[in-house]
Amino acid sequence: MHIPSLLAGLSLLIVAIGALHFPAKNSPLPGEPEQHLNEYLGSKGCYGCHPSEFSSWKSSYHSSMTRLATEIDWQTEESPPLPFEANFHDYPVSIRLEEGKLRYRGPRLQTLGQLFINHSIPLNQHALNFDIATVDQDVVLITGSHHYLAFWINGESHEELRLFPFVYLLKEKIWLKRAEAFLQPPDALETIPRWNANCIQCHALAGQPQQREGYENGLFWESYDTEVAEFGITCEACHGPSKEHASSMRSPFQRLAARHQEARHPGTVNPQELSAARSTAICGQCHSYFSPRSPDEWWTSGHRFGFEPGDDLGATRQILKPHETSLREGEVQAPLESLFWQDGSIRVGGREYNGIIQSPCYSKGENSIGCLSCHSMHHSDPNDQLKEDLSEKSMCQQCHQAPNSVAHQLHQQESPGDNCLACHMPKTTFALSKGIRAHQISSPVTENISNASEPPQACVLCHLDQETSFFDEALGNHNKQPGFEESASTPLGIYWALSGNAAIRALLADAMGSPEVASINSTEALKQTLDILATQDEYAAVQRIAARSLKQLENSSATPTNKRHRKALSSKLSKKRMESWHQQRDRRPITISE
Amino acid sequence: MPSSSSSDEKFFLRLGWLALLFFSASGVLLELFLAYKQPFYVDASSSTRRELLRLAHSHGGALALCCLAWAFTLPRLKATPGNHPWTYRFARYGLSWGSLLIPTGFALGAWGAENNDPGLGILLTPAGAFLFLLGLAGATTAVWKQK
Repeated sequence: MHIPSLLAGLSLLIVAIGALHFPAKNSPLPGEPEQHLNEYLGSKGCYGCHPSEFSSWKSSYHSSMTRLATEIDWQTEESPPLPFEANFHDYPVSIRLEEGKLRYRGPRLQTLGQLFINHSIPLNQHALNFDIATVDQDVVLITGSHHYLAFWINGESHEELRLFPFVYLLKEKIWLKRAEAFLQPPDALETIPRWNANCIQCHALAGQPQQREGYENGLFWESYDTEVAEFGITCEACHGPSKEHASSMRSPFQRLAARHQEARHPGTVNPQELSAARSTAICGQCHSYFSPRSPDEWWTSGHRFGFEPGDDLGATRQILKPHETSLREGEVQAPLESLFWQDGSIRVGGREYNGIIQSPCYSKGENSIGCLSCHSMHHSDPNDQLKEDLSEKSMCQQCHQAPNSVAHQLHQQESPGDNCLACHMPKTTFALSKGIRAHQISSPVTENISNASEPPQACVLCHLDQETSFFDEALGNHNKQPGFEESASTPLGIYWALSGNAAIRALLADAMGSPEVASINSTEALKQTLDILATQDEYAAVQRIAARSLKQLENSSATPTNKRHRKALSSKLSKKRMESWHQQRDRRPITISE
Repeated sequence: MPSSSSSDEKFFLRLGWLALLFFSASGVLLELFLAYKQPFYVDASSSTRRELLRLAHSHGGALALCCLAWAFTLPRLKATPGNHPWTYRFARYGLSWGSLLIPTGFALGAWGAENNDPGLGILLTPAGAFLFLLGLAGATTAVWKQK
């Protein structure tokens, strides 16, 4: 045997295998937005030089906020139970697994969405009596991965995605009508949202709706040629387009030289090297309530060309304020009075940018704080992404000295109230069916607390069953102002939980399920309150939160408060009195959705 | 000792040194891919490809050393009545084809790697491994039968 013959034989084998090799390519599903990286590198490209940052990002929920349905294994323990079948306004809808692919069967969602708009159908109307064609389609995209999953199905027009009307709650492991996952009045108008027009702005990198519309033969038409660079909140959402950076840094000599340069990451943005305001603006791209400054541009190229990390957010987005007068009709889905509390702070959770920019800690020039003062994208637990070396207690101590007396914090050390955030960032924003810490850092109202229901005061959020006199005494407030009529003998938290507006009711009902709150309140009083909310409230979200808290209380091993207080309380809290508070509740409609 | 022993020795010396040169050079190439951060080698989606190319490089180098070891062993073997020609034949074909097919399979598997699975070419690797084991069996028997 000779070497040439051996190599010739081997070459023949290689050619034969090459000829047999047909790489399997996944063809895109109908409606799947096109992915074009253009000047973006793509997260997979970042891995080569930044493997640990890639891994920490990959384990965060940001990375999986939008996924192709075909990329998910639907047969794991965490997956929703399938098939799921339900009725939506009396139309049967279902999601099932067929040969590993997720399929939707039900009325054509675009037609249904149009019908909702044309006929102003409220959430609580059951039968619609319209004939709508039944379709059987692939589920294309999934949004969410932390709290719930939302399912997107191809609409009628090109690359348009419509939302399946039920979501799957990952923690509770239940399917729920989407409208009930948010705070909405029962007679709010039903909608079938489009991914291309809503979610794309935050759930994808460089999303461009590319909407086209017009009239043909007197009929209105619209279509989408939606493009994204990547699905999910990926590396370049915070670091900016980095293809050029990667190209220049492929050379080892260039990388070596960059070690000694001031700008160590040419062509890309490191948020930690930006001012607090500019790095916070990066988070504000998504964590803010805004309306685009140029709606026409938004409907075509999104914010693709208007904003890059490091830029001023205000150039492309009008950050909403409580009394914004320049908004045009329909620019913001919910009325502004739903979005803000009476004191002007944001009521919607997940929109922390609106809160932090109003905080004194943010506006103090060079020493201002920003998101990265407490959060870290690469060195943190995926839940809340708080810096791993910081505790809730030590966050404020980065700038402020620890209070060394009970006089400031009014709580004993190691008690649940021994925590700056409990009073200065109380859970007064609402999202994901729970209270979330306000990011408008503030001090609690100390005077006339019985008139300060909006937002609920930090003291009341915990001491739900206490009367005005308790707070006045604790706060050293001896110049009492007149409160509402019943305040003198009324547990404020319980009163507001029943008589406040829907947002207050939802937040206080959520607070009542907390073990810390249960340990300092009369659980009987809390249970009575929650029972009324769970059975009599007209907001489905309030009912559900109250039922959840009730269950948590029943499973809780909280030590009851002192007997005398409970006895005094029970004499004041008759069921009839509590129900009358609920009857007198603030009925102004509140909508807090996405 | 079979008459073809000297030609086998020459063959395995050439094959061993050639393979050692080739697979050592491939190591330098892989280093360059890494140094210049070539996307097809360093990206997150390239991990299977990267692993297979590394396996090709390391197996190719190690198996080249095996070929050289057989080449250096051959002159020490004496023809004995109990030493059947099949042992040499097994060693010749098994070691040579095995040494080439195993790394080639890894390299071809890297070429078509997708979704954490190697390309079709990886099929050469188990075939090569089987041949190489036969070759080792032949070589071991030949050495064992020596008196």
